[in-house]
Amino acid sequence: MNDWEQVGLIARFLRGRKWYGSEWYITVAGAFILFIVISSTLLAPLLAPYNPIKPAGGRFEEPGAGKTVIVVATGTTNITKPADLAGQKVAAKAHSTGSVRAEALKADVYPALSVKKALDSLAAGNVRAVLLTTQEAQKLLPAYQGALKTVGKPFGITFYMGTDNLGRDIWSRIIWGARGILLVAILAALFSALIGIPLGLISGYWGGTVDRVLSLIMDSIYAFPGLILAIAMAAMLGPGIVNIAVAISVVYIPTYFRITRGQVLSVKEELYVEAAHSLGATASTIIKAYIFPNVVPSIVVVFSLNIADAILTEAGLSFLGLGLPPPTPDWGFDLNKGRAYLPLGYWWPITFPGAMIALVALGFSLLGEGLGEILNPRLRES
Amino acid sequence: MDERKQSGNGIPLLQLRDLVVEYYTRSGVVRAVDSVDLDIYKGEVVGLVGESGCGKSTLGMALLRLVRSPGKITSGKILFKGKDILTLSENAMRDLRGPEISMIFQDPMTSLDPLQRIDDHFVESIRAHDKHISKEDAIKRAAELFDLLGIAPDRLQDYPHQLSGGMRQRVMIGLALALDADLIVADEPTTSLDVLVEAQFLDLLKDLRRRYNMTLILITHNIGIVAELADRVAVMYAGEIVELGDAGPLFAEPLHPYTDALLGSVPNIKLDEELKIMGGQPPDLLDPPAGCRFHPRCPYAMDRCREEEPPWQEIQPGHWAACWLYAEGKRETLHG
Amino acid sequence: MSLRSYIITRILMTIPMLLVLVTLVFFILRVMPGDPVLAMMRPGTPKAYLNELRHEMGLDKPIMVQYVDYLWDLARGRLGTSLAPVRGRPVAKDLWAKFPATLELSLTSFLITIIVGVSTGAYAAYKRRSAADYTFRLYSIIIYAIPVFWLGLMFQLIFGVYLHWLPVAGRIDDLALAPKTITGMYLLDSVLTGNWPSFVNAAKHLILPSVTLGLYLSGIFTRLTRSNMLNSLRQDFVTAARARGISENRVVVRHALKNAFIPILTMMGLQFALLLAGAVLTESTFSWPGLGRFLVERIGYRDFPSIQGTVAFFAILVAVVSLLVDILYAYLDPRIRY
Ligand SMILES: Nc1ncnc2c1ncn2[C@@H]1O[C@H](COP(=O)(O)OP(=O)(O)OP(=O)(O)O)[C@@H](O)[C@H]1O
Ligand code: SF4
Ligand SMILES: [Mg+2]
Repeated sequence: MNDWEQVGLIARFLRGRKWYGSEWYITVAGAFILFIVISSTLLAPLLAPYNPIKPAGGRFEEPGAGKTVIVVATGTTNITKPADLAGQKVAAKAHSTGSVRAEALKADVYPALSVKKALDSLAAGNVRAVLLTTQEAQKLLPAYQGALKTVGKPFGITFYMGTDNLGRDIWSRIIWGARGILLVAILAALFSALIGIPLGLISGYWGGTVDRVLSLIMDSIYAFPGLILAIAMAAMLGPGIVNIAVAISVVYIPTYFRITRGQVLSVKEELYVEAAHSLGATASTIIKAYIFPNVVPSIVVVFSLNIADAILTEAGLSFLGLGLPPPTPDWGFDLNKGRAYLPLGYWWPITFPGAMIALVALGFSLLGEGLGEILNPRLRES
Repeated sequence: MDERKQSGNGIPLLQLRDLVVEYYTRSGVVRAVDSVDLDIYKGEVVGLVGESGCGKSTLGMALLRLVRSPGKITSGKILFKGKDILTLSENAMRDLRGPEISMIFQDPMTSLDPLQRIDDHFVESIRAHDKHISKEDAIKRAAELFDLLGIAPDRLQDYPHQLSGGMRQRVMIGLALALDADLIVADEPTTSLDVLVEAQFLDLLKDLRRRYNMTLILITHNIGIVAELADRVAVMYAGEIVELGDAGPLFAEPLHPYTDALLGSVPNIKLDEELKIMGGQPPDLLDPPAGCRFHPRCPYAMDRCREEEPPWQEIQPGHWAACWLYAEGKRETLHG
Repeated sequence: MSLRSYIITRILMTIPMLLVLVTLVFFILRVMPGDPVLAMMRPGTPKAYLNELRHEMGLDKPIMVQYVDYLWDLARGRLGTSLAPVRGRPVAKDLWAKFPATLELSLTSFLITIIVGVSTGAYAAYKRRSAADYTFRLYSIIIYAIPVFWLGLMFQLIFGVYLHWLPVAGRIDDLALAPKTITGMYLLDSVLTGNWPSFVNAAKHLILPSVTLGLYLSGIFTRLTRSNMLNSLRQDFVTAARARGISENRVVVRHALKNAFIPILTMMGLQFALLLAGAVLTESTFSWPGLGRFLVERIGYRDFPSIQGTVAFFAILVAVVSLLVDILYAYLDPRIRY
C-alpha cells in the first residue's frame, strides 16, 4: 500500500463520521479505550505508585485505605516525620500496612498481634513509635488519652483499588498487568495471521487436493472449542509469554485462513487476474498486486476482533492457572487468586482485574466492529 | 358513461382523494404518491401503468395501509365503501385486509412462507378472520378453490418450493378468493412468470372476473396485459396520475404526451407506428421538476409547462388528463 | 431426498469429521510439545521411571503405530488409563461420571442463551433504530467482552456473598440429597423420581452457573437473530401475510422469526462448541464437578492420558452435536427434506 492510499484510507475514515454515524463513534470509542490503556501501561513506571510484585501494605486493605500515621508517646520529640523512624524500635500489627511501611523506612520493627497490642507496648514504653492507619488511629487513640499522640501528617500513597491477599497494590498490578495480556494477545493474533494468511493464499490460489486437505483441517479446528484446545496446549507447553501465545494462536489460524481463502477465490474469479496470469505474471506478482490489497481490509478488521478474543482466552488460561508464571502481574491469575477470598466478602481483588479484562476486550471489539462497518460493508451482517 | 358506474348505486367502491405517500429517507423526503384522486367502481378492472419507480406499488400498498418503512401516508383520504380507512384502528384495518381488500404480489416465489404448507396458509388466513370455521372446513374451501384454479387438491399438502411459479401465483389468487375480497390489488402478478404461464394465468383471471364480478386493480408496466384485461386505465408519472380513461379510447387516442410515448415504446399496440424508445429518465422524486413533471422529456413542452402545473381536466367524456395542451379547450386529441 | 436418507448420509459424513477432529487432538497434543512424559513430569524425575511411563503409555513405539493404536482404542471406547491421582483408573470411566454434570449445565445454559438472545435480537430487529434496538446491540457487544468467569464471580459476590440467595459452589448441598442416578443430571433425575427436595436444591445450585454461561453467548445470538430477523421481516411473505390480515404477533413470530431461526440453527453447532469452552471456565468458577473442572484438575496432576482423553471426548461431543443440529435443521426446513 503506498502513501497515497494511506491518505485515502484516512480521508475515507474521517468522512465516515458523516456516513456511518454510530459506527464511527463506536470505532472512536474503541480506539479511545485502547489508547488510554496502552499509554498507561507504557507509562507504568510513572503511574504505578508501588512495585506490583512486592507487598505494599497489609493484606486486603480496602480501596482508598493506605494512609498511615506515626503514634508516639506524648513526650517524644525526636520523631516528627517518617524518616525519623529509621533505626528506631517501631511496633505495628504484623503484616499490616504499618509494618510494611516501617520495614521500608528501615525501622527496627516489632510485629504485634493486633493494633491494640502495638499501642499497649508503646504506652508501656517498649517501643518508640507505632505505625497504624488513620482510621485505626481515630478509633483507638482516644483510649490512651494524653499518653499517646500522632505526629506529622498521615503519609503513604493511597491504595486506590485496595491490596490483594499478599498486600500488593492492586492498582499497580492492574497497570503493569496490561503489558502481559496485551503482549500475549497481540503475539497470538500475529502468529495466527502469519500462519493462517499464507495457508489461505496457498489453499485458495492452488486449489485441488492441497485446498481440500487444508480446508478440512482448518474447518475441524474452527469447529473445535478453541479454549479447550488452548488449555491442553498451554498445559503441555508450560507457562511463558511465547508459549501461551502459541497455544492461543492455534485457535485463530482458521479465522485468517478462511477469510484469506475466501477472498482469494473471489478475486481469482475476476477477470483481471486471468489476464495477468496469461500475460506471464508470476504467482507472487499476482498475490502482491491483486490479491493482497483485496484481503487487507478484512484482515485489519479480523485482526482487531481476534485480539479481543485472544485477550479473553489469555485471561481464561490465566484464570485456570495456565497463564504467565507468577509473580508476573496477570489479571486472569489475580482473579484466580482473589476467587478463594470471595466468600469472605473481599470484592476488590476480583472486581478490578475482571473489569479491566472486559474493558480491553471491549476496546478491541468496538474498534473491530466499527472498522468492519466502515472499511468493509461486506462483512457487516456476516 | 357505461352501466358499470351506475351499478353499485353510483357510489364507487374505492375513492382516493388527494392521497399523498412519502418516504422519509436519509437523503430527503421522497413523495412517491402525490395528490392522487381515483375512483374504482365495483366489478371493473382498472389498469395502473407507468415506468418503474413512478409509485405504482406504493399506491397499491397504501390501499392496505402497508406502505413499507420509512414510508408514510401523509395526507388525503382512502374511502372504501364510503368509509375512510385511514381513520380506522389497526385492529379494524386488519379485519379489512383479506376479506375486503386483498393483494397479490409480483413474485410468487417469495410471497409464500417457505416453512408453511400451502393448506396452512389457507387455514391461517381463513381462521384469522373467522375463528368459528374449523380447520377441516377451511381446507375443504381451499380444495374447492384449487379445483377452480386448476391445481390438483393434493398439492395442498405441499410446501411452496414444491410448486411451480405459475401454481404459486394461482395459490396467491386462491388466497385472495378464499376470503372473498371485494377488491383485489394485483401488483405485477405476471412479471416473474414465463410467457406461456403468463398467458394461462391471464386466461384464469379473465375467467374469474366473469364468474365473480371481481374488482381488480392491476398494477403493471406490461401494457399488453392491461389492454387485454382492463376496463379503464390510469397512467402514472412521477407519483401523479396524468391520464385516466376507458381502455379503448385511451389506447386508441392517448391524450397525454407521456401516455403517447409509453404506448409508442411498446410493440404490438400501435402497429401502424414505428417503435420509439422514450428518451430521458423519470425525474428524481426527491426533487421533481417544477410545473409539469414531464416537461424535460416532453416533445410538446411549452414555457407554461415549466412553470405551472397543468390542471386535471375531463377532456372527453370519461377521459381525463393533466396537460397544458388541452387548456381552454385548445385541442381535442394529440395527433389530430 | 427423504428425511431418512438425509439423516443416514449425514451420519456417514460425521465419520470423516470425527476422524479429523480426533486426529487433530492426537497430533497437537503429541507432536507439538515433544514428549508428553517429559512435559508432564518435573525435572529430576528418575530416568527409569520416565521410561517405565513411556512404555506403559506406548510412547516408545513409532508415532504412526501410536496413532493407529489410539484410533483403535477410541473406536472401542477406550481412552487410556490415568497416571494420577489414581494410577491405572480408566479415563473413560471418569469422563462418563463427569459428563452428566457438564451436559446438565450446558443444556440449561444453552436454553437461557437462546431465550435471551433470540428474544432480544428479534425485538431489536422489529423495533429497528429504537432505543431498545441500540440498547440490545450495545448489550451484545458488551456481554461478549465480559470474561465469563468474571461474570460468574460477580454473581457469586452479589447473590451468594451479599444477598445469600443462592449457593455459589457445587451441584447439591449434600450428596445424600442427590436423586437416584438415572441420567446423572440431577434436575432430570429428581423429576423422574419425584424427589422434590432434591429438585429444589439442585435447581438452586444450577441457577448461577447456568445464567452465567447462558448470558455469555446470548450476545452472539442477539446479533445473529437481529440480522436474520431484519432480513426475514423484509421478505415478501411477511408483507403478504400482513396483507391477508393475519395478526401482527403471528406474522412476527410464526412467519418472520421462524424463518429467521433457520440460518441461526445452522450456526448452532459452532455456538455449542463455544459454549463448551465457556463451560470449562464456568465449572471452574462454580466448582461444578463436570468435564471442564476434571480437565483442569488433571492438568494439575499432570495426568496426560486424562488430558488427551478429555479433549478427544470434547471432539466427539462437538461432532455429535453438529450432527444433531443438522438433523434438526432438516426436520425444520422442508427445503432440505424434499
Ligand atoms: N422503502 C423505500 N424507501 C425509500 N424510497 C422508496 C422505498 N420504496 C420505494 N421508494 C421510492 O418510491 C418511489 C416509488 O416506488 P414504487 O416501488 O412505488 O414504484 P413502482 O412504480 O412500483 O416501480 P416498479 O415498477 O419498479 O415496481 C421510487 O422512486 C422509490 O425510489
Ligand atoms: S403539460 Fe406540457 S410538458 Fe406536460 S405533458 Fe403537457 S405539453 Fe408536455
Ligand atoms: Mg412496483
